Amino acid sequence: MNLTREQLWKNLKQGEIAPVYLLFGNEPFLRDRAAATIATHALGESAVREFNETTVSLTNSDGLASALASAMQLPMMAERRVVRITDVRVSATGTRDTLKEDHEAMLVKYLERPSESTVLIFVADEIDKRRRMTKLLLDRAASIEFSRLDDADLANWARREITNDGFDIDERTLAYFVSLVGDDLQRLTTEIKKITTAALPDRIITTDLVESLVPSSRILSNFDLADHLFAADKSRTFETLKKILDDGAEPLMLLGLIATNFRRLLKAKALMESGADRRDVARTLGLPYRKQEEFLALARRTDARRLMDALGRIAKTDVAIKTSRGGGGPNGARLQIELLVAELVRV
Amino acid sequence: MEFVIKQSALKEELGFVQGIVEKKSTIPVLSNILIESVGENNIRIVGTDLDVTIRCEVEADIRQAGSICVQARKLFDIVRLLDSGDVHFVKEENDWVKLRCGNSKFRLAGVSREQFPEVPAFKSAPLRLAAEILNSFIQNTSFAITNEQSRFTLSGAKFMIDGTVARMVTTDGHRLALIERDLGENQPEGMDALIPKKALLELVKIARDSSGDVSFGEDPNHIYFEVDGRLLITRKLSGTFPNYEMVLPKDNDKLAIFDAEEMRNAIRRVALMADERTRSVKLTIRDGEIEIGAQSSEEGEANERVAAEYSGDEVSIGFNSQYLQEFLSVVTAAAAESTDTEQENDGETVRVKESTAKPRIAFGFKDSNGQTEMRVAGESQYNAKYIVMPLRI
Repeated sequence: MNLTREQLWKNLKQGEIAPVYLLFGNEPFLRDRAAATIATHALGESAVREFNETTVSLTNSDGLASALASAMQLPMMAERRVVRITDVRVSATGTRDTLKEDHEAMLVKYLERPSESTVLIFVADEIDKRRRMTKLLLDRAASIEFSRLDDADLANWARREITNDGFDIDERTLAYFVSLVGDDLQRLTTEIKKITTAALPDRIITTDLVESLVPSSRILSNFDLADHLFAADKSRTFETLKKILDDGAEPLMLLGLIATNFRRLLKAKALMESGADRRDVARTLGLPYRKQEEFLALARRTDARRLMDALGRIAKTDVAIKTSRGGGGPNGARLQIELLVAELVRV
Repeated sequence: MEFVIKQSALKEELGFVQGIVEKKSTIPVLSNILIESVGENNIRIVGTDLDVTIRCEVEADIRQAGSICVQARKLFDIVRLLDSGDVHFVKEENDWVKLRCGNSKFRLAGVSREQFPEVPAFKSAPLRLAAEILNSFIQNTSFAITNEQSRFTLSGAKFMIDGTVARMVTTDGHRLALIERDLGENQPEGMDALIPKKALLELVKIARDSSGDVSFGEDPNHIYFEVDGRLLITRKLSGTFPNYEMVLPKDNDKLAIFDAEEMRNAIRRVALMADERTRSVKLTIRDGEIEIGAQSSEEGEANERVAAEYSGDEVSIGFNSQYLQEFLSVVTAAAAESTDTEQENDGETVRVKESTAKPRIAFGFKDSNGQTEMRVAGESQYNAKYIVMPLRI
């Protein structure tokens, strides 16, 4: 049974607690918070809560057996017991699996007749919905996906966190604050704690306060600029580039980053042409899992000659910056990078 | 530094320190021990993992005062294989250590004494408890300590001294072990602290063979135990132990009494057919007997009957077999070690053998779902209880 986040909160408020939950998605902060909220609704704040709350990691070889044994145990002086199973991974290739198909019989047996006095929560780091174990859990558990929030939801979320604690922030400052911090909710929470503490005793969060305390932490990974560049998304490419340069990134470092991504694409193409499978290519290039598919598709459809031309153009920019062609200082270097990106976005 | 020490004495003390020293520590110096001279006739051996520290003193002929710091495991491996006799240590330049015993010669790479962490300074130890009592406390409770690292406050034992009573409690959330004893006289100070499991297990090792007392005391962060000149210092666990008194059953109205060893052996056999997931066995308690049964859909089933003193309604209760076996093993092992105790007899103190050869278990319960309680039946100077939650069957 799939539930939305809103449905989950509504059910919990109404006292409807499922015997088994599967919490997954790429927003671990919300996922973990949901697990804690489910536990609080199931156990309350009783003095014996400590006795009835167990966490078992699947990184232990007998983790699932221990967790299910705990789940079968009746609660101590309470209505329910909560067993949280963490580090659940059912990966696309099976290499990182912690919930394995060997566990199927054991798991099916429990899911067919889950303990009425236990709330079992699977907290998944990674699930591939095509795999049998995932399908089994999606089929039998109340499953909730926690995806990254978009900018509007992020702003709503941050506003709620700030105002619930009795602080004021205007919409413009809020938007600015969220744009600086980015979509990492754990980080957003930390920054909210920081600015609300600094806003005491007036409890008003101003743009000046945000500016002075919150670093621009939309940290661009090795892939962020390249993502937009390769997607030929001109407006996002220039928006991202401006942000990186405005944040004081060193142009030569940025150039190196762009060159690395083009070299990787070229290398990926060469590896694929020599018959290497997806796993080998990903391992050789050190591609993060969530980027693999997109990156390899891009490598497949991009012409090798155009990649070579792009690398040639990057090399020329490198010389231009180092020899101050087009003007010295940071402005000259910035101009060179902007010209380069304008050409590359068409590659 | 230069000293000469008996191989047997050094081997014994190094043995005590081994359990503390980290073999794969992220801080390399912690895999070393510190040996330093104390006066002209003693050396002090110190091992630490920063949470637990053991310090032993042993007689040696100090030729030149100083200190050495060497790999604990390697030194222990060497010393235990040496012939009995004198072992001669000399510290060389660059912290190397030369060791000689009979025809055997070794050179060991050492580290400088400055790299070894400072251990907490020993404070006073005003409280005293017979080593035998402390051992008994630990043996009867340590098995119920949780192995879940996330449950910080349950990863040790709650140890209390209150007036004349000493008490130790452990739990993993599924079972709880409690033991207490009236010490007969008021202690000069009270104590209520959480002691980490590792410290308890090391404490048993150094106190096991002692017939004397363990002196102990605390400061805000540490507890100090001293036994026969050996000192164990442990960092206290922080946090609040759950309210264990709330889970002690108060309305168990049924009681069955059975032989501990007979039950342990029966459970051990029957559990071979238990479900691999829950390790569950079912105890059916009826007039005059308890039937233990287990079944696994893939492998088959087993059952066995054990005689029991019980009359009342038939009740079936499921248990994790491991939880029962651990308790029964501790009880039967303790009984196998017949102990000398002191008793008052016509105004005179006499030592008598306490016969606990065939311990019987009093098993209290109410129904299939509530907390069950086990304890050794009959009179004892200890009040030991083991509370286990049943499994759903």
